[in-house]
Amino acid sequence: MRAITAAFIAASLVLCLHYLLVRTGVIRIRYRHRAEKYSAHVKLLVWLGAVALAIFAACYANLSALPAEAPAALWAALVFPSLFFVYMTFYFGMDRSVQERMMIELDNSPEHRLDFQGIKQVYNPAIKFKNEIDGMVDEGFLYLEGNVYRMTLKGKLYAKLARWAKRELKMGKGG
Amino acid sequence: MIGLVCAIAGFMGMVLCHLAALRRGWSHRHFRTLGLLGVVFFALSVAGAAVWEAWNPVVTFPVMAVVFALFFYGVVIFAYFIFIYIVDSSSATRILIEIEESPERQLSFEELMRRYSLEEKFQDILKDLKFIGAIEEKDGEFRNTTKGERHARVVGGFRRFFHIGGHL
Repeated sequence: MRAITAAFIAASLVLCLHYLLVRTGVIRIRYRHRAEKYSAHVKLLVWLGAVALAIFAACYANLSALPAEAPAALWAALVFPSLFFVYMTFYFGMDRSVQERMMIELDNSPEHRLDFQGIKQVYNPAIKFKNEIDGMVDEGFLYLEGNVYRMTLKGKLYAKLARWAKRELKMGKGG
Repeated sequence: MIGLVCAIAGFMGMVLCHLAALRRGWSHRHFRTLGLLGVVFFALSVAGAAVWEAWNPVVTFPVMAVVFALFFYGVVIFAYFIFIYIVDSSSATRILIEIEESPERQLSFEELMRRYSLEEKFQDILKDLKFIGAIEEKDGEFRNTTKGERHARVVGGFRRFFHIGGHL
């Protein structure tokens, strides 16, 4: 129980610190394009994560009032979703990533190289856009009314959460 | 110890079922299939751990408890980053926000295409791929580096074998 509690406290600290440092502007994420933005967030999280390991160690050493042993069901309830999340991220990267698709299209082209027009011919943005919207309708985020798309309740809630996170973490329009 | 064994066994069972469903074409709605398998195997793992512990408790070694607690710690931070990444980079998120910010909260396909240019996204992604050294640009043409080529073949092979990808 001690190790789980220490991990929970340290992880909460990292997330809160990241949010506060970016939200208040103490750390400014400067970037020219997307990869630099994500790289800056990763560096900050790794740095905070490394520092918070000391918090983990301190909590683990000092939470002696808690039993060392945790119920087996609790371990299963924490470890299974963690493994599931890592696998889900891997699977969605494999299935849906635009980056992967571009590298595959370059590799499949006769001379293994394409200009931007050539990329658009083999990977048509309009078709991708249509498939993306069809997927959102299928997954219950949007519905079609006449010729316009409107959000379902699930879509509205997700849009509000995303707008809030983008505003708080100063992420720009993105997409 | 029992909880860790049940979680890992349940996870491996879920991955095997998921990959078999993809390979054999049993899965048509991949997200739902994965979600359903996740819920079923999660319940089996937790119930299995509870029953096994009641029947024959086994002590968790402190070093294993620390290792798996640190794994959980790492995954929470990773999940937070993935949340940031998805909220910021996903086309679906951007489409929802465009509709949310429109005056009547409804947009036609053509209006969405005007507000959100996927061509710009493609340009940004090519810059990302150059930044991470997966592609290079010469005389206006893009080609994979050795790293990008290796990556494209591994992912392409995985997609072909499991009949996934290519729709987005």
